[in-house]
Amino acid sequence: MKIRTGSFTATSIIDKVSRGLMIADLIAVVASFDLVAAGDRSMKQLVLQLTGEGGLLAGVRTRSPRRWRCSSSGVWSSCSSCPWRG
Amino acid sequence: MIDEYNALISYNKIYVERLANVAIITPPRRRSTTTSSGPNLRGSGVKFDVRKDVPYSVYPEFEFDVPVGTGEVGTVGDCFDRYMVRIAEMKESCRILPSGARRRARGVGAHEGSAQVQAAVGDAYIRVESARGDMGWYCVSDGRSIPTA
Repeated sequence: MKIRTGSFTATSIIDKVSRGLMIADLIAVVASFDLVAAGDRSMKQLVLQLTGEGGLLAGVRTRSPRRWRCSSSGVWSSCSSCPWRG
Repeated sequence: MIDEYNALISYNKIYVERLANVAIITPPRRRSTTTSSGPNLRGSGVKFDVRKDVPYSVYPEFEFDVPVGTGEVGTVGDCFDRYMVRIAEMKESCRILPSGARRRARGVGAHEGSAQVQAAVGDAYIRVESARGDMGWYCVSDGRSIPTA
């Protein structure tokens, strides 16, 4: 069984609707979509989308975009068994 | 309590200015062209709720409305509309609860027997209105009672 929650589509639209807004507005935008990061992958996707080239936060250095805590194993960074890695 | 919350927070000037006309999602020309659902879709003024449009379970027995965004303080589909849709849905939930409680008190819907379900061989698809919108479940059964992913 594979499930994709509505948060995936809501996450993907943030970059488009947040153009020209202030960073403080971003908090309201993300909250209004009622996002739930179902796994490390969706949160990673959101941050990379916003901080990537052309993103709202492009150029902003994140602490360590490649380090993620696996929700299933609790292990930081690379977890070869994690289904959410990618 | 929701009205008190509205009086204190929802129509606060700072709150309204932060949410009104921010991140507007215009309503789709046809609902089938959008991948958005649930309160995010209804915030854009589209009246679609799986419980009403594709009725399932006991929801046809309950009376409730489907609130949609109206552009009350800004533009239809802005952050404020998405927020107010959720507030209005809390009120609708409060309308549903007494009906559900009465139904339960009559013993209707009470669970009987074993919690273990042995589904017949085949497949089934059902969609429900979850807290975050349209959620579909497609299950395939090989006749065993133990689910596997």
